[in-house]
Amino acid sequence: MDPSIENDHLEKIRRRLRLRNEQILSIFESYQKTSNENPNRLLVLVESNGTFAVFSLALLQLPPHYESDISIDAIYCVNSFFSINAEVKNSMTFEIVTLSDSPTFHYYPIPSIFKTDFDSFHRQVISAQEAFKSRQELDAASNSFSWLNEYKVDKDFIAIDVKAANGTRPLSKGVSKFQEELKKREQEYITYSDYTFYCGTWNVNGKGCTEHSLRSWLAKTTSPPDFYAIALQEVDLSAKAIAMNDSKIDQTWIRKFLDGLHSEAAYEELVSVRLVGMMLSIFVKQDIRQHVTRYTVSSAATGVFNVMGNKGGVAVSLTLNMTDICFVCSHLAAHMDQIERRNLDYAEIMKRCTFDEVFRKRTIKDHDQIFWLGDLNYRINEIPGQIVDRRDIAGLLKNDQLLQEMRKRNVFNDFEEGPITFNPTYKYDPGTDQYDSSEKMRAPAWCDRILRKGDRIQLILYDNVMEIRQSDHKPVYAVFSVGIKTKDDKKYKRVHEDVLKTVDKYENDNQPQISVEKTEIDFNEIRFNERLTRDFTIANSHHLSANFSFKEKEEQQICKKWFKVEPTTGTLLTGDSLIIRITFKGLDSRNIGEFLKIVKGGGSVPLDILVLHVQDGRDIFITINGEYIPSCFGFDMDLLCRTDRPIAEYSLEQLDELEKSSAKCDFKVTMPREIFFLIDYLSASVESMKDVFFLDRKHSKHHSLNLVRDWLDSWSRQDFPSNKQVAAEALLMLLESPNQPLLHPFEELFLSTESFEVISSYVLKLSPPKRNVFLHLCMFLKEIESKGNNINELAMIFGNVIVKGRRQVPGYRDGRCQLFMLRFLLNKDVASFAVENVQMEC
Amino acid sequence: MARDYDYLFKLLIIGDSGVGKSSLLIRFSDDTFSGSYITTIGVDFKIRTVIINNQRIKLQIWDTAGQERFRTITSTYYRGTHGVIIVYDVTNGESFANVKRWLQEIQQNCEVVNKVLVGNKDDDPSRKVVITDDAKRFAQQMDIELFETSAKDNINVEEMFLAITKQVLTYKLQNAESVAQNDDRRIKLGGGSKNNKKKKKCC
Repeated sequence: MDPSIENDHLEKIRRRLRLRNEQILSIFESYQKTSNENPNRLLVLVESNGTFAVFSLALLQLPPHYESDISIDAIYCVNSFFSINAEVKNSMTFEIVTLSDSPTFHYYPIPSIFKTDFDSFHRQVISAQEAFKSRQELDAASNSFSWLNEYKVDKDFIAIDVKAANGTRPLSKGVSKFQEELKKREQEYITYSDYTFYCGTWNVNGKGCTEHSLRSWLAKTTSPPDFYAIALQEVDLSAKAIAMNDSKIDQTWIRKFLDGLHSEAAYEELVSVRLVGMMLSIFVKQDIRQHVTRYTVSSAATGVFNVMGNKGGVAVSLTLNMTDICFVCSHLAAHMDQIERRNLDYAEIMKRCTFDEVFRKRTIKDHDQIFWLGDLNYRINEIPGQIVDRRDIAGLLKNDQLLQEMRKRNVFNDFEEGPITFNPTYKYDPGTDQYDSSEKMRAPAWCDRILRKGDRIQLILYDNVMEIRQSDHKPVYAVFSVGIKTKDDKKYKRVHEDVLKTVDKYENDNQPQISVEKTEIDFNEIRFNERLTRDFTIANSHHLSANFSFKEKEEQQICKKWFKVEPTTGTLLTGDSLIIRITFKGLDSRNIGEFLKIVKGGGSVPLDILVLHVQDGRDIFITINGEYIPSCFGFDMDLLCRTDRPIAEYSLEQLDELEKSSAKCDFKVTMPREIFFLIDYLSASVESMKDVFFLDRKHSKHHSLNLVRDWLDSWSRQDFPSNKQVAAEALLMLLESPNQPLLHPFEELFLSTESFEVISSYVLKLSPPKRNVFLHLCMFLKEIESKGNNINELAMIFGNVIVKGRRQVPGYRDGRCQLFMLRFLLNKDVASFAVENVQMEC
Repeated sequence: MARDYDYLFKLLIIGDSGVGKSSLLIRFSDDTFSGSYITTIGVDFKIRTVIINNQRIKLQIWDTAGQERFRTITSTYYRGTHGVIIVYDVTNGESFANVKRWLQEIQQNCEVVNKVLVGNKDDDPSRKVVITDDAKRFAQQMDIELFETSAKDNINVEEMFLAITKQVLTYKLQNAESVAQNDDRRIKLGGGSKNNKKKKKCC
């Protein structure tokens, strides 16, 4: 960034953001469009210790005068999900995406006091992201965005913060207006159908299955369940399995499960996931398998250092029809006094179990329904001096740690558990129904539990299985009737169509609009060499701000070259109005010919049509009218010789007619009176022609030239209204302003021929008015020369005017034109040739 | 971000001034009609999304000024257009006679374009001067589908817009196939001759 600019503003921003070691790398100014205003946004790229974030700052005024003028609108972590794209359809906008499923934030660049353009800002953000990515590969710690913790963003829907960087940000709503509307009206097309879910959990104490059949655990319902979620803990307790975080599925268990499922339906294994001792398998009835549209697995270890998989959780996320379901199997920290640790384990699993999807990471929370199974290891608190009967379930439950912690909202918030009516599931002497008789004499506990969270879940059964005795835990199971969202296709179609209409209407109603005071701009009378302006107002009374621009038409011009429009682009906030000025820059000898071509025939054709374009909205045509009052400038010598009255008394149509009816000998005079008048006036003072003729037009902008114009156009009998400089200039302009130069069509020939004979033979072939004008000019110049004036300069000026005409390149004079003139003027025979050939009468 | 549509088509409504181009558009997009006449000075557009064959098709429909003096400028809006709706007024014979000119306009500015012919204001038999049979015969000659509509009484408007949309969709799908075939051929021949048409491409 340019260090010279706005250090003061930078300092205010630094103070407001309380930056110490952090560096501001780039600042870019933009605005956002909201429903009724377009707030300015300053995007600031900040670096801290190798991590980067883009702050979107809202400003009360720009530039900010006080620190309090600045507030934080949003913070975007420049992590691997971050992207910043210039939208293809409109180069004026760019979008910022932090997670692919999150809303896209649109910004519109504006010319900035900070002088950073979008490209360089974009480049810096991208290189910041590259730097972050390469760093991220080196160290796994992803919480390096923690420096952002101290910033608070006002609106929580934009709160994209540390969580986003860690990939644990909750699912956001409102992908687009359409999706949002469709979601809003979900109730109208969603129906619920009931599915039976069987959930079972068992800590198998490190032993393979020795039971003959698991049917006594798994086939508990009269009719077959639709889903089975079977969770095991301590599948393998070996140190090797723990150290390797073994995740291989134990197929002997899968076979055992399949064998033990309800016999009245055919099942298939949907998916299984394992982390060391924990294994979770999902079985689904074959005839509803097709309704599972998606599934993924995840796991999180919470054992030693939160990396060992002896404790933790595994999970399956799936979508059944339109419902997102999560099954979790966990094994939390053991021992009576480790309540805190168990609560923490739960929180870790909630946080770290994430499911990769194409565009996002889904966490356990991002599901409609969650089933949590496992050896949660919560014990029954022993009250000193109080002996509770081990058969008194209600008495024991009062001291159940899990129920107590849940009541305190320390763990499993918003989860529910069915009423426990069965004996504690731990700890038994294997092979018996006897509680632990070993030296340790572990107190019984309901370690093994099944909880759920979500709507439309009804508990049908919750029990343990006493007769399975191989482990020190008894298996537990719960059966639920679950309401699953299903789309009613007919209703959906209707709502869909309706929503489309709503969204279309929204879009149509939110077209920016500009009203224009008038669509016809009239310049009334337009004259040669006169500048005119017209103003009109455009206004925005619509609820959205509007960007406007005058559209380029053919040749990349928004208007004809003799007009100027100011301003050509801009923004109108609601309630704003703006004056647009159209300037008619005036016609000069260079453009009058072209202008005459367009207005030829006069009347109904507009002088120009401007296209006022409203961004994302309509185009308005603005017609420019005006009546050109003809002047002798711009017309061909031939035409000027056909007039029988002053040109001011002609209409454009009549002049057009005159030009078309170009019968050869209808010239009223031998040379235009206008030329004659000027040469006549100038001849009166040929003694001193120094500083009279110039290469450039010095007086054309002066009022005096217009006096001469009117004098010529009216064939005035008054005295010449100005001086010889203006007369000289008027003469040159008359000669150079027609579309074709005076020596047309032989101009190239004259430049390339040295022979006086050849030149003079072609001079005779010029049209009589042109020939007469040329010869008169030559005689006039000879006369000036004879009075001691320098002919070289005059030859340069007149040579270019009569050979090149209006095609002279400004600031450049062609020396060949001068040579031609000198060659002709200095020839000894020129005087006699002129006198012989100039036509004195028609 | 998920797109809200499968296809985006640009349609253009042209025809003489006062034949009811804007009314047709407003009827289709907002399902309303206003009797008062406001001449369009510029180019307006509305959005409507329709579902055809389970595809969401977003229509961006451009309504142009019909006045003669804007002809040169409006012709620049033909670029990128998928379908053109040419409208005349069944109670105004001249507007029907001018349809030929509008068809030429399309030909000059577009290479290939789908189109429909629409006789609007067909709601008062006593004022109708362009007879259906004549219009039909003309449409047949020009190989263009004809609709007689009334934006005021909401007759045939929806049908007409859906017809041009289907036409564009069908054309799009066929064209996608033939482009693929052409590509094949070009590879086989090792680069055949190219069309050097100077017309602006529409589709």
